[in-house]
Amino acid sequence: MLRFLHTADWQLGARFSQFGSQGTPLRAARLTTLQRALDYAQTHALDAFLIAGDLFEDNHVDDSLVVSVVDLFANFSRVPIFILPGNHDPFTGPDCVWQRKSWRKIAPHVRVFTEPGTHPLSADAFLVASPLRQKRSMVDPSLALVALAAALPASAIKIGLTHGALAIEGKHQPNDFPISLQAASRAGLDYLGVGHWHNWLVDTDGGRIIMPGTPEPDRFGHDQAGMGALVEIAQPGQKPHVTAIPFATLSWQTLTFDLQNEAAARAALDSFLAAYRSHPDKAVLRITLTGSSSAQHLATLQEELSTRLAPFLVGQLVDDTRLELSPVELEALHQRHPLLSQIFADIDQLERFATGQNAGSVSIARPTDSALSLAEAQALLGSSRIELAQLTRADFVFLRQTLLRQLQEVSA
Amino acid sequence: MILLAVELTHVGRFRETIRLGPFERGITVLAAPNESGKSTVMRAVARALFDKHTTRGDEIKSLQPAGTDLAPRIAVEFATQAGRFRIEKTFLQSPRSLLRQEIAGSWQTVAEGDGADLRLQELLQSTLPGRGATRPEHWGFFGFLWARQGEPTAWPALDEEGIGQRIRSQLARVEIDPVIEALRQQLSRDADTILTSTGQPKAGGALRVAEDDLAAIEQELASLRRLQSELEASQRTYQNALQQVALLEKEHEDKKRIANETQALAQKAEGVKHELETRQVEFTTAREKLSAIVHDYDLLQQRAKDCEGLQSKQASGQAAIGAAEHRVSACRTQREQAQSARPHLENKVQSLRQALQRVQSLLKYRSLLSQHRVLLRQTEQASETVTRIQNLRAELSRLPNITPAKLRSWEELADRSRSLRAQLDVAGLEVILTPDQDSAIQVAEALKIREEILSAGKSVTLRSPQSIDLLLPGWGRVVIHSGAVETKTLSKDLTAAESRLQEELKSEGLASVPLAREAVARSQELSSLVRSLETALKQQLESQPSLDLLKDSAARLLSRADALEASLALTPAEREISQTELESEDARLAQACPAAEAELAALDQKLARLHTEEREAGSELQRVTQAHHTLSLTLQTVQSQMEALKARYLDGLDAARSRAQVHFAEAEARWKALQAQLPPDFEKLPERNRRATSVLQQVANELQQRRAERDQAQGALESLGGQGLYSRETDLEEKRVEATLRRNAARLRGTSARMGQLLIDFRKEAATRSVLQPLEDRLTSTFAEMSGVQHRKVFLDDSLRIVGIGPSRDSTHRFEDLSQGAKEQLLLCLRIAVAQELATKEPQTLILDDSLVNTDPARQIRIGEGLASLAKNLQVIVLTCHSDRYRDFQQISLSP
Repeated sequence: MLRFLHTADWQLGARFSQFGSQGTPLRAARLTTLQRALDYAQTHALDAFLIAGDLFEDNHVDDSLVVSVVDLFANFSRVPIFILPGNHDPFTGPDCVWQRKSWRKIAPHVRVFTEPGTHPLSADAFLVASPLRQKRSMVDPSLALVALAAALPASAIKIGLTHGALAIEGKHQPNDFPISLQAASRAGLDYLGVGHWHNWLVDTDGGRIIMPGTPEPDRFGHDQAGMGALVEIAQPGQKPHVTAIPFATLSWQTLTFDLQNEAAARAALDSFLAAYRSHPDKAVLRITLTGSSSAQHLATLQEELSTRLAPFLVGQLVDDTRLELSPVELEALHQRHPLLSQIFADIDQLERFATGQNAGSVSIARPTDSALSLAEAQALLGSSRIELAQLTRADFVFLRQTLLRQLQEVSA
Repeated sequence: MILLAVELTHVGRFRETIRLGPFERGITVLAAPNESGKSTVMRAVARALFDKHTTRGDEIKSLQPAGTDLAPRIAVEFATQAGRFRIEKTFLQSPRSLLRQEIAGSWQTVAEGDGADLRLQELLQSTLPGRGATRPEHWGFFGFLWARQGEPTAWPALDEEGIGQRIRSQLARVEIDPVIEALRQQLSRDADTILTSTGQPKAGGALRVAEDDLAAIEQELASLRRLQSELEASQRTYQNALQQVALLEKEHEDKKRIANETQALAQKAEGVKHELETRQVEFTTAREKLSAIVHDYDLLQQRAKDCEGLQSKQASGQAAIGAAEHRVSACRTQREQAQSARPHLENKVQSLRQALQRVQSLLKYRSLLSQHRVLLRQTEQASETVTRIQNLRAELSRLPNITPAKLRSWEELADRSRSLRAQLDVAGLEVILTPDQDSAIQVAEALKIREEILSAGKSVTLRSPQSIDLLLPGWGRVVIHSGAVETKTLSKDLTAAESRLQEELKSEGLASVPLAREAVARSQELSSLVRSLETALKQQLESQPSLDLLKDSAARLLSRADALEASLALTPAEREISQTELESEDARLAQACPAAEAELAALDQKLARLHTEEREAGSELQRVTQAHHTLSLTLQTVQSQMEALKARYLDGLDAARSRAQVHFAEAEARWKALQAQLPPDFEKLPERNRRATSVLQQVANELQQRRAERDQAQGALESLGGQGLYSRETDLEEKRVEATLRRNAARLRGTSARMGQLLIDFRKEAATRSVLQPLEDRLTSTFAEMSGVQHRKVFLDDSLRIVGIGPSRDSTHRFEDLSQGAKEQLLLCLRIAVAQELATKEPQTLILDDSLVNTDPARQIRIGEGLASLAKNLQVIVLTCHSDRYRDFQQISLSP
């Protein structure tokens, strides 16, 4: 029985621009997860630990990170580790991460495939690997496995390892190393471990091609990430038995807080935060505020939520609220402030000039006899160096919200 | 607010209490001389209405009667929308304030002291200064509608906050909603914290800070990108060098192998080449020997063949000589025969030509004679015609020169005389004489005396136009005169006509008109005859211009005939021969002569041809004789050569040739066998060898260079790759995202706030503009009505200030440049317009305190009349020292 752990897309050193300067702990978590997965493999005495590409986010990551990884691998000397350069860290030459001095003292149980090659996993099992040597290519990297596998004894268990996009119609780019959906069968492999996409993907080529996704999620919405594939093959030709093993260190979760029903939203928030209160340093949370509220209340709420999110590793607050008036309120506004009513019509007109489209559902204007002309609009904004053509729909949405919120404030 | 009544005590020159009023709506004139206190009344009213009763200041003290400390006390009754009120204020000493309202016909206290002041302030919508007395800008509408003495052309600023804005908003009907105004200010403040007024990021503002942060990050990123670019460039260099090194190494191996092979081949070829040269000499010698023998053999064969040919040609040449000689002889015989016939034929032609020439001369002679005779006849006819013409012209010259016009004139004159005479006959004297016995009487008439024979008893009637002069025998002379005027006139005319006719006829030598008529007819007849004779003469002269020339021509012909006759020396037979015979002979000779000439020409041609044939036959004979001689010489030469060739080879030419062929074949076989051992391009081998060595060296140099580049690029890549560029970029990218978010948020906030503020400003101004036009129209018509000047439009700016007047906005007379009179009239109109607008909500008082000081009296009167119609809804109080100009209006005096 051959047993090994198939992982990919560790993306060590990944960038988390959406969180600004909060990326450091997220990067650190990925190294923690790698350690956990290696520990699992050693603890369970697996025959191999496979990394199917993109161990690193980029060929030019810090030396300190490379040293950390090399040291980490050295600590798990009982697990044979096989590393395949992927499209993020291809073996391109002297500048690539695999040519750093740290790798020169790598322990013998670790092998980096810098070119297509074969390695015995046991007496009757072999690993054939096809690494990437460039960032983009239209060539199926699994083609190199055909010849390698053909050279192996027919009675051996043949495990393939490569990196690229599965050539699923409409789901891949032609220059993204398209891998045939029959790549395992074509090369006569019992199992083909692939890396590239970050969500768990099985059941390709009769369950012989597996893409385990990234072991550590890197964005919200990747529900099928955070796992490694434990593979067990009893004998050649037998369908592999694959088990998803969760390794993720961090939990990426989102919540929508709807101000239209604040009581219910608060209840949901309490429940949401309670779930991660016991391990706040493992939670990456995003709360999206929606609905309508007064500016003052919104500011108060934002302050409160920021405080409540503070203990967690990452707590992101997104304001998608809209100050929306009821028809009665809107009618009152138009009646009380006809000049403002005219200005909302002007904003619609400006949006039409700027975007070429009508404001549509976001409009709160009434029909008016006095439409703003293009020359007037340009002269008006030009005095403050505001380029009409540069304005977007979002700018006008924000402008309406600004007026309504400021109106609320001054009216109060 | 409108004023109802005023009471003043201890105010200015009013030491006693004075009450003015009641004031009604419409125009009230407060007329009084200068310095009588009109303006003081209004100043006191303003202080009572708008100043706190506790106010102490120069403005209040100036109300005190001069030189006293008396406390000014003022009571003003007024009406607003809220009702009728009375305010009583005492300033300076024991100041007090009491506000009362008329309720159910009686005054009831509303407030006192400060409360009264405050309540009054609310009623009148006035304000208070921070300290001191109030100024007009604190007086609400009153401050604007009071044209104060000495300030007739000053107009308050309507763009100020407070009351100015209120007036402006009401005039322009713009809703200056306090909420919107607050919103505008809030937006302006928000925008100003981020942006400058020109849209630039404000120093220290969130946008500028974010942009500065971003710029710094971008700078660092740019530096990082340069390193990355260097890395990529090094990577490309390395990859290129790597590929080139691999290619060059392979190429170096190939070139080295080729160079070695080329060198071995060149050495081997060199040895073969030396031996080949020896074999080639042998081969060349054998080939040349064989070639010489074969040449001799072929030459002998050829000479034998040539000899046979020459002998055959020699026989043919002999036969040709005989034939040529025969032909020469025949040609000569034919030519001599033709030559002998030629003299006879030549004589014949000569005699025919002479005969023909003689006959033609004779014919010419006769022709000349004939022409001469014809000319003689023409000369005679022409001479006769000339004589006739001369005679006719002589007769014509003797006739009087009368033109048909002149003749018509005379005929008309004669007709007139006849007519006059007939009239006289009718109107003139008639004397009837019946003698007793036959007698003769003389009648004198027209200077003539005629005798009239009278028979006895027979009446004779004598008629005369005017008088009859009778000489009666035995009785004496009897002259009878007519006294009638008409006959006198007729007689006079008749005499004049007849005298004129007689004179004119006489001047032409004619006796009467009929003779003149005959002379004219004859003259015309003679002229016609002359013309026809001149035509005939022209035909007779034919081409000659005159008779003399015709005669000369005839003489010349005769002379030529005589000369020809002398030269011909005619024989009698020739003189006798007829013209017809002569012409027949001429025709015969004319045919015979060319025929003889043609025959002679044909004989000459034949002679020439026979000459040619004879020459050709001679030439042919000469040519064949020469050829035969040449052939004989050639044959002798060939036979000599054949003998010499045979003498060279003692054992025969065939045996010698066989031996030479064997030697040649052996030498050739040896040479070719050795040549086959040489490489095909063995001549180029040394050059190839040199080139291969050179190329090998070049490739080795290139390889060394590429290896150096590869190693250098590898070093650079290892160095740059280990710097962790991506990690540094990650850090900067994350900072950039954060700064970008900050910048975008700040820009969005600032831009939105600014746009909101700009839109509010724009709409406010637009609303103002929308009412500007009707207000201008109203002002224009009011101004026209008051000033009496039409066709001048008044223009306002956005702040409702008067810009000027003129035909259009672009060509106005600026307000500042107008006369003081025009200015005060315009402002009066504007005040009326404002007051009318304000009065739509609340009654208003317009106070004109000597506001038309610069306007002439006549125009003041018209303005006053205009005010009456314009101010129907207003209360207008006019303070003036000219009561006569407002005599139609209610007037009040300042008397206590």
